[in-house]
Amino acid sequence: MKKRFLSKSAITKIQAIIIAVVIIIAIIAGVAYYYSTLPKAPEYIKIGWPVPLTGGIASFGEPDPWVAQQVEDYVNNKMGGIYLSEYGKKIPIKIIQRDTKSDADFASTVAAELITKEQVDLMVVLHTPATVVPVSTQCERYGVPCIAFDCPVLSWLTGAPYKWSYLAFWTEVDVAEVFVGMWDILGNKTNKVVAGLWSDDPDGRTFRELTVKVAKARGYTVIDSGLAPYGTTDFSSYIQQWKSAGAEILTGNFIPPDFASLWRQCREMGYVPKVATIGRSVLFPSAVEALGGDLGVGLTTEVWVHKVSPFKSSLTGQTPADLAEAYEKATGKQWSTPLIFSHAALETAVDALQRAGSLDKDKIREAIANTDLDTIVGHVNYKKPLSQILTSEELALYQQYPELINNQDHYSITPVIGGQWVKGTKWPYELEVVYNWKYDNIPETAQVKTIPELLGP
Amino acid sequence: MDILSFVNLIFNGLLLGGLFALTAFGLSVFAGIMRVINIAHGDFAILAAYLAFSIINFLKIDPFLSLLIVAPIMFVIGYLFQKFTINRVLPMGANQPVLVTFALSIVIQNLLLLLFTADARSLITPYLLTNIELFGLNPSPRYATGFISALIVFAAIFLFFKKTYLGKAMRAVPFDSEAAKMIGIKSDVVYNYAAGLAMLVVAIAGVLLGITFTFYPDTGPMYVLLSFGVVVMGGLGSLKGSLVGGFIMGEALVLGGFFFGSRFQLMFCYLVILIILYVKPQGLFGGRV
Amino acid sequence: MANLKNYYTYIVIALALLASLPLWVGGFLRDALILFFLYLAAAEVWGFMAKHAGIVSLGQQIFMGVGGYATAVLCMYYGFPLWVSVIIAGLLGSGLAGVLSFPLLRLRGVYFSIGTFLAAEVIRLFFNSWEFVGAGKGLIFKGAYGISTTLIYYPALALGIVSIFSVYFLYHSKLGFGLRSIGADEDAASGLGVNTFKCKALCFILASLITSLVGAVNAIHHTYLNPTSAFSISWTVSFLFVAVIGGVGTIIGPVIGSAIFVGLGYLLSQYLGLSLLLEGLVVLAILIAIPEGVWGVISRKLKLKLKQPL
Repeated sequence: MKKRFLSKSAITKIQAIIIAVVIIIAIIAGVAYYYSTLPKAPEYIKIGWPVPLTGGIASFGEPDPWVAQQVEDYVNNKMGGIYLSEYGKKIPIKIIQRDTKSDADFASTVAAELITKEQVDLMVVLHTPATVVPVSTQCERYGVPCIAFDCPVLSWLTGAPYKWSYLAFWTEVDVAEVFVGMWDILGNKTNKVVAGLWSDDPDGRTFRELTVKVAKARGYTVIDSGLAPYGTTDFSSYIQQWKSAGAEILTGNFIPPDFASLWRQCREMGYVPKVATIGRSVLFPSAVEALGGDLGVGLTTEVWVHKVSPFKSSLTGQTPADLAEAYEKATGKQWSTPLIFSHAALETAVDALQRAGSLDKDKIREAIANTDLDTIVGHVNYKKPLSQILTSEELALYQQYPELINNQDHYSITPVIGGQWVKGTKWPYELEVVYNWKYDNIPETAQVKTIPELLGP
Repeated sequence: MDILSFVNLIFNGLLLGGLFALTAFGLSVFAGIMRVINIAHGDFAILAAYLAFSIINFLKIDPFLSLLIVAPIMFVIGYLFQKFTINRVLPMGANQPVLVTFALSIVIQNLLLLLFTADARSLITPYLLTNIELFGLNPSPRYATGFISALIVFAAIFLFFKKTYLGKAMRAVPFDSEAAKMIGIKSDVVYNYAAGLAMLVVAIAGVLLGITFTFYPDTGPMYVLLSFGVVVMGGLGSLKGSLVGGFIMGEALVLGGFFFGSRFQLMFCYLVILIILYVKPQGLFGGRV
Repeated sequence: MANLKNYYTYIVIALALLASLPLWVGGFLRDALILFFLYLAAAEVWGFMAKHAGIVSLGQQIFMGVGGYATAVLCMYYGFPLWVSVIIAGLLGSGLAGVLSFPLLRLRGVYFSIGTFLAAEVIRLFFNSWEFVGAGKGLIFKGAYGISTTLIYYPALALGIVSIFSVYFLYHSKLGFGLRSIGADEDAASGLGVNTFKCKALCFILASLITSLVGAVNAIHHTYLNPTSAFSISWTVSFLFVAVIGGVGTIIGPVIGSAIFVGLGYLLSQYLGLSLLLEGLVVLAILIAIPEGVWGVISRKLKLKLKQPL
């Protein structure tokens, strides 16, 4: 008996289906081809900006939609657009933001989409290595100029060497100096025993390496508890160890929610260190308030820019204090440091575009490389050699990390100083500048104190 | 570390284990009666936590009080879930409920993501953030609350199954639905109530989890894996087993952190579960597979 | 297979058109097509395992991650040529599947499913602490920097086609027959002399070979690997959704399912979670009410009486 594959009527139906599918594919291909060959008029300068709007580091990206709006309005309405010599006219900018969900992989996807689908002319990115590194990497891959801020340099250099991306921020060497510097000020008020735990990511790892190194060199005993993965909720074995060892100084670097879990558990277990200097987790008032109760009092952290910093925006002429005030007035929320840096990133972008005079990606890249600009967060210049900026002792410390030396023309160092959270007058918590390290132009606003001193009896 | 500190660690592990047991009770009830492991179990718990979060923000009440509203809502959700979903797919084959509960898990996670964004959340109870001293030990107030709640819920469910008609019906139906039908018990309806009960327990666990730990829309799967481990250890359908299994899981997490560091804490727990699955899938205390 | 010869001309034309697509379409659509074929390939084998062998794996992300990492490591640390690394990565993935078969395939039903999920989590957490591959920091796959999307399209297309043919031939093979009897009633099959463990293991290994290759190509496309996303449950979610929406266990089903899944994903990418939520609801509806999926409904309406497994 003959085996029929299909019934007779079905054969013609299958043929019809296959022909239909083939025709559909051909039509799609033809239409796509037509659209891809249409000439692109530079109607807008498109700036892509992946931002962590939700997720563990959402507090970093929160002010960014407002910053983008503010700068776009200023450039397009007050300035009439950016003058590009190649086209002989002023062209408005369009800032396209996308949520990275605080996820490195998603940031990668979002960056690729901005490049291939939205066809952005240049990329701007900030807010911790989890956002900046994947985006810089995608820009390298597709050859798109990228301006990065707000990512500690060593962790950014895991993606080095870079051709298209440029970073302006401080290095982990600097921040270790600031952390230990603050402890030095307190002198004999602590027993100089430091306990440390860090998040298992680029940020955490580099902070750990350098803080331990600098602390040990300055005579502190260090209990290195290692790295904790995201989402760790139970820290009891560590806290128990730190209590037993009598560590009066606690240090670390976490995403804000993980530090909240740790710090609450410390309080429950009766561990209140005299000093707690934590990176990344208590940069913003919202994160400090979220700790609950009075848990935020006395926490010390790195400060990248403050209302009292003596800088000015090259774009709008605002000082950090002006910008902070404008933000608070417009949104009713308290200012935070990334707000100022986001503005600086856009400043740098506008300046580079003006000097490039074109939307040609190579020209934009050249222009960025030659940046020499006083921004709202300090002076940005990527080409200046380290030997002209650092003292010989600092240079020696830098030389222990060859990546820092080999890639020096792709990053520019911005100031980092020490700050402490205290109970505020206008807002529940306010940040005081307690240690200006080598940046004498930034005034200190208060003296650093231990946590028990600030909490009172 | 000195002896007292180590004992404190073990003690807190036990308290934490109570919370894990409480989280697993809902899964155990569901699996014991309906014979279905609800993969969305953890997500239902987190759903309860988010419900509590909304109610707390809206009414400004204490998280524990919010349970009075969250628990009945979850009961109804459980009832409807069983009636319109699980009951329909039970006859379709052993793997259909797996696919359904898995898909539901994704639906809940993304619904929560859309409604609440990916920001970290917590049900704040400042009065629990204090330090308690008890015979030289420092029990964590949040873990202790979970532990006490676990004991209360355990007793309540135990009595419910033993003394009430509905409870006894719930235990009878899975064994012999034909015989149960003959004495007038409608198995479908019994299943619906059982699911509601399970979700009620899940609600309590969810709110307590929200008080103790920060949560995100995708925190659910971790809790279903841990609960599954507890249930497997204790034996499917055994409440006592889940209680003991919970304690073991709590200790595993805390001691895992102590011996291997926080990087390997969770991995250690999951490995323990896998080993038990391999060696004694019917649980350390026997029970149906 | 004499009957297939009738369609050779059609198949050749279709393949030629598919192969020429990169020349017509822009970079963005090429990305979409790569995803389409990769999801298609992985969903075909997942669906086959679920429907015809009765094993629902919630751990396919193991092979996505291992395939990706192995390719990157072999290429960058050991200097293997890129595409050779891909092949070896595929073999390593299937080797791992072989090893995992022993503890996991002893488990039945949902225990197996959760077992695969647990194993995936253990492996993810392990990679998160494994310094050699960059641990939590991840790995930047610089060796894949220069590869254009056009070049990646062809392996993706090839995987899609190979997966379809593998499922077809597997179904009609002796192994396939044994698997289908296990899927229908494992105890009965065992009683009839089918070596249930060996059959299931071979199926699992084959499926993981294809999935590992998919993971490898994906890593080249993405150039950035980190444990959280490489071993994320979302991979299995995607494969499951694609298979169920299209029609689980069919061959044409996942083709439709993948088109819908990738399309919706791009359309709604700005609204976080919306595409997955919609697809999840559709999957639930299908599982409860129309288990044969979109293709099942279409073929029923068109009164096509197709011989399985199409």
